[in-house]
Amino acid sequence: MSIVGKKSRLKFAVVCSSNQNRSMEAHNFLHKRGFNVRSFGSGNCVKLPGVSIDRPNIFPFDVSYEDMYHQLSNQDHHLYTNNGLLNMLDRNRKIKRNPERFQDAREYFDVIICCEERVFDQVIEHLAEGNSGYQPTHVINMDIQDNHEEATVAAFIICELCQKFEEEAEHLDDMVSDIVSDFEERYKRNMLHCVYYI
Amino acid sequence: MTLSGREAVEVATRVGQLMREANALQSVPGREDARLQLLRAAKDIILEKNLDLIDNFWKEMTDTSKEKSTSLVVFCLDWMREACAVEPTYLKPTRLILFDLLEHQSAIVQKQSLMTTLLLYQDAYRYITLPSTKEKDAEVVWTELAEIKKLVISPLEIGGFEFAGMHLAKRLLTYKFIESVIMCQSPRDPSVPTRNDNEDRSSSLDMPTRLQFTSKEKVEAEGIKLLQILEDCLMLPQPEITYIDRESICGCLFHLARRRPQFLPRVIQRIEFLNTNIPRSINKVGTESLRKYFRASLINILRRSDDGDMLARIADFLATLGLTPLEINRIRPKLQEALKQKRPTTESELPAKRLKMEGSSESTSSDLVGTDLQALAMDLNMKALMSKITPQKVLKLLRSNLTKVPTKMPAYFTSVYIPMGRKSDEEMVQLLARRMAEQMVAASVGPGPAEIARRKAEEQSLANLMKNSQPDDSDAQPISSVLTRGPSLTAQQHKETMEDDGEASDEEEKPHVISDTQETPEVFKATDKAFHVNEITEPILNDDRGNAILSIVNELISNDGNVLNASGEYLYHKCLIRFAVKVGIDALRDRIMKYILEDIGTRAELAFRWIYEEYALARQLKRDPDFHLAPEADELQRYDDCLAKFIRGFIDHAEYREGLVSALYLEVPLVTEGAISLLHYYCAERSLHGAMRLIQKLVTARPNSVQYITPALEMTLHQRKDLQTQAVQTCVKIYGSIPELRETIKDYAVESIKLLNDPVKPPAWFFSDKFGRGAQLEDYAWTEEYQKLCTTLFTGLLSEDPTFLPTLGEIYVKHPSDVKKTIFKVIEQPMKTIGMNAPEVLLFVRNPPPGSESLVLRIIHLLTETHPATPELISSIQSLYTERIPDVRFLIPILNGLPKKDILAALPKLIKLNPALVQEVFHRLLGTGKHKHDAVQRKPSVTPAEVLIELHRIDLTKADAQTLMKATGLCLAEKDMYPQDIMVFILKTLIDMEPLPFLLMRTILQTLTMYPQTRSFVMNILQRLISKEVWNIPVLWDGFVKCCEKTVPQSFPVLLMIPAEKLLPILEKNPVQLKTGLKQHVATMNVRQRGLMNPRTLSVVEYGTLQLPDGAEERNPVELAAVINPLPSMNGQRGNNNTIVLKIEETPEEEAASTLSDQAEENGADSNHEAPDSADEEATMFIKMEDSDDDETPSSPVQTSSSPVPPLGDSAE
Repeated sequence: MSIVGKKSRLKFAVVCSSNQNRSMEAHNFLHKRGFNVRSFGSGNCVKLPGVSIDRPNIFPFDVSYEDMYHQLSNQDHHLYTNNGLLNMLDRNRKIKRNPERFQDAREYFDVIICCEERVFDQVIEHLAEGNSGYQPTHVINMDIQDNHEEATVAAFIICELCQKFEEEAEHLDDMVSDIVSDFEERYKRNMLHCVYYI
Repeated sequence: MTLSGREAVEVATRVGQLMREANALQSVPGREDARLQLLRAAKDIILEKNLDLIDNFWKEMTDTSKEKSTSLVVFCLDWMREACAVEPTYLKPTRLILFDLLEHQSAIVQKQSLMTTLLLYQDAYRYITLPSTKEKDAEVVWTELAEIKKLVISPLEIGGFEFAGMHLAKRLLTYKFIESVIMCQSPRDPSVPTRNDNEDRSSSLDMPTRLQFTSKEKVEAEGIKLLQILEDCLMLPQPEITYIDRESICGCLFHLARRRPQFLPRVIQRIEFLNTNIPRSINKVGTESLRKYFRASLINILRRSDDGDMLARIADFLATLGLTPLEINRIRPKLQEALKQKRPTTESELPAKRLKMEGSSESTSSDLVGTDLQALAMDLNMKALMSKITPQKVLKLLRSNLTKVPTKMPAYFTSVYIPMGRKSDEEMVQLLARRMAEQMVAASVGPGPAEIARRKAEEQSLANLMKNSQPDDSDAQPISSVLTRGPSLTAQQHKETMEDDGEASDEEEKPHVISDTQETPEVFKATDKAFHVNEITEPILNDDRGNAILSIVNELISNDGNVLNASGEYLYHKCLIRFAVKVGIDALRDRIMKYILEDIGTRAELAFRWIYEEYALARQLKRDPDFHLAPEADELQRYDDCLAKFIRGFIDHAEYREGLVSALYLEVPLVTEGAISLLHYYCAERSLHGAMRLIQKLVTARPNSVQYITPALEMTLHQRKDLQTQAVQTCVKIYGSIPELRETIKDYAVESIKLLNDPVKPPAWFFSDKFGRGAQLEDYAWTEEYQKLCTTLFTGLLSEDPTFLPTLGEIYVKHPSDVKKTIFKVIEQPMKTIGMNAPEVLLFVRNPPPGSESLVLRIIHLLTETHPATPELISSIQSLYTERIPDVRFLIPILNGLPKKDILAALPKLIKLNPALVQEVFHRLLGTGKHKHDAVQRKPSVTPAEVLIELHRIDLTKADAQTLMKATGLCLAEKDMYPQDIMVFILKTLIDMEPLPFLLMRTILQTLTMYPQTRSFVMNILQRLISKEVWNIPVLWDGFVKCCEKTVPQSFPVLLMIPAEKLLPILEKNPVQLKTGLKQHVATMNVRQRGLMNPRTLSVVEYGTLQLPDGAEERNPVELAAVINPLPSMNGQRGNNNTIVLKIEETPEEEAASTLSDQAEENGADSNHEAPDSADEEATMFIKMEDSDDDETPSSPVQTSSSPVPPLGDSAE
């Protein structure tokens, strides 16, 4: 499941709410396999679990993963090691500097993959605001639970999905709906697909 | 941009040169990029420097459109667009080329061409509106634009079938093209803000009035017509356009509505209509995505629009899409205020406005804009319905049709059903009427469509009359084809549909209606419809299918080398796995499984993929709410089977590799119970150590580690010794390394050892298969082996963690007594490992659970067996002894560590214990037996002498004579501990005691037996006894006499010191030895000596009577001592003794102790010479005196009877 050696023809974006777990897992995975990919969050800020459920750690989007890592490590090294947050942030800081917010990105993507329905809603609300360009972009949603295991499993599926898109790059618009329906049936995940012009 | 002639020539030369270079590369393959660069450079120079050159190079440049390389064709498009932007007169040649390129074989070129067309149109339209443009040029351009429009839009107008054959990318751009044309050809609303200059550059308002060939009104009318086309496209049936088309058309419409608010009402109405009539053939993804699309777009409009009426409607619409009032309020915070604002009404909005006022106003069809016939139809239908719907009627319909509701909710219903929410009756009726009206219009039923049909006919005839041209009815056609039943729909059916509608829209039968209306898709099918394979193929029989697939797989597998080369590993694996997982044929699965197991080295990857695929499938089944076939528990069944088969296969494989089996367990997404139970098998049949290592890895590496430890725990009760030992070791190791599992392991260990509580037999499960005991149910009882088995884990843990001690104590108390013995045995090793320094041990010793004293005793004993007790242990035991259990046995192991006082205090109790223990006590006290080594390390606080002396101190109230005699006997048996000098010292101490110890004489006799050379010293002692009037103490007196008897002839002087009254019975009793001997002794004395003697004594000796001879005077025997003292030096007559000694053997009073003492005396006499120096001064003196005696004794006949000396204790009995 890799396009290593070939030039990726499509530009992908993977979006989750905080640009930490699901999108970064997929980003990592896709990037390693040679896809042209970026990842984003769609929320207003970056939220990470805290010491209790009602006290999450909240950061603005421009705080680097490195800083988050140190902040959490200083807060409670044991807890955040155990729940995998430090591990995740460590992975993330090796991929890029800081989380990015989708709504601030000014770039064209052929395919935008969202990891949750709420994220999808936010993404298409943002795209619906513009929708004045001439290039169609495909926004796809696939529900992924926000935990490490699901993120890993989903990264595989996303990768397979992107692989399919890449294979059909020339007739992408024609094939997207078939591919999406096929995946929905195959992986029994609720999927959504909208088209916008950028 | 006017250049001088010279410059112009230079530019032309430069361009010419670039073009030549580019052309030179034309025939060189692989140099497209270089060529493209040159061409671009030329293009830039031309467009920047000299537009006149466009003409010169036009042909050369546009020739690139015929190239194969798409990038060159795209360059051509760029060239044309940019050239036309500055010189619109080139539009005509451009158009011709564009038309070709729109049909280009490459989809990318097609897409780019359409994009170029779109941009060209905008530029050209703008060019026309420029004031500087000459009318002639403008007209030419306009004509060209009309051609372009016609070409792009015609596929849509024809009815969609041709259009459906186009690439989706091209269709999407077509919509965008139409949107952009409408934008140009409709009036701009100044209140709508623009983000930049480029946005919304042209509108119909810019159209100059001076132009003859067209006018603002004309272009606007055309714009409206195009809008209608776009809207109609939205309702084309499914096979022609997909949900993506619908989404993007909606996107275009919403974009238009935003930029041109006058279109908003009709757009909203369209969308509402589509929302209630989403074609059933759109799949779930499509339906849900469309709804999402509506939602996002409407939210966007809700945020921006300031048209109060529309806002209310949009808010309603959003509510039907599932938004709560709260969410709506969040999107548009001051909605209520905004609702009050009204936009100035413009004529084009009228139809929609009217619709909002549903039924309240008279409809006058004359003022409707012709293109919005559908709105009119809706309006009419609603009006008709509103007057008819009453709550009673709805109820009646509902009741009468309830029976027709299907028992199971159709899947389609759930996807299209829109809840109505809570509303007043009036609102409800209105909503009901609107939904029914929408459906009726879609089905061409009701007064609305009738009116439209009438009008169309009118228009047509009018048009025929006026223009004599073909009627254009494309507007209405697609709409009516969306949901119609077809032309055969009878009036009766119409009525039924209406009735159904009434009921369905009230609650839930609407999908039924829709399904009814969609049962006849034939009406959509045109003769030139696209070819669908599945329509002409028939399903294959299941068996055939299975066999076919099996043979395919066989083929694949038998040629795996070729297949791998051809397809690559990824595809090959995927293909096989797909077959294995998706096709439910067991034979197939077995075949593939066999294939993998044939060579696990290289095909293990395949196994992993398969397992993952099964897992993914299982997870999907779980998630899928429609999956009713398997109950929850079974969804992992197949995964479990598959995993178990692989594990079994890997374990049993001839090329078994531990790494593979471990990887299987460690890397699969889920280890099922089946897989865990295979660990038993793995242990027993393949690799015990491998399995144990695996278990250790599993508990550390995988979550839910408890389940992996269970097999190891169970194996601690396994019958096979090696398994069992290894399992215990593993568990103990895990116990030490993984704190989370401690509780589990501990519980199991405790459970195991508690099994012993049952005195009769182990529980039935103890004999289950997994413990490898075979069917031994008939002799189903505890054996020592089983008992030990149950304790191994516990004892293993005990040596690792002494905190188990209290638990052991608690369990021990409940154990039957034979089990206690087993426990004694098994705790030896762990207790020695723990050692006596562990605080837990000390604590346990201090506070043992009631009833576990013997256990504590055993533990203390084990601890002190090889090492002396530490002070901490001693103090713990002491506190136990003094505070809780005054059992003297506790003290035995720590005797040496106790202070002298305590030892001596405990001594009376100690000697009362059973003989073995007493022996042990003395071993410890004296540092003899196995405690020899012990004593070297740690000096006892009491010396052997002290012990013996203390024994003598014990009076008869505390211990009976027998016990004391045994105790002293035991002491003296350790001859090494009591050398001669020590004994002398002891005797000296004893003789000074007050009162005299009753064992004194016995000890003296024993000393004599042990060390005959102390005879003189003993004489001394005897003299002192006389001074103490020993005859008054009967216990001692007997012993004294016995002693004298034994020590003749040395004892004669002593005897002579005894008062005559006491002496007489003695002599009478033993006439042979004493009487005769003494008589002879006296006879040998000289006169002076005799003179010093008490005459009564002399009379007793000589005459055997107390009658004093005449003249003799009585003397105090005590005073005699001084006279007798030098006696030994005077008794030179030895020869006489011989007869006396011989007679001893004939003595009827055969007391072994005394006889033996005699023998010992003789034996000792031999070695007498060797140790005179070691005695203290006084003793030495006597020994020296004896020396002189002994010179003559060796010939004594007693020597002949020499036999080994039996222990004194025995002889005493």
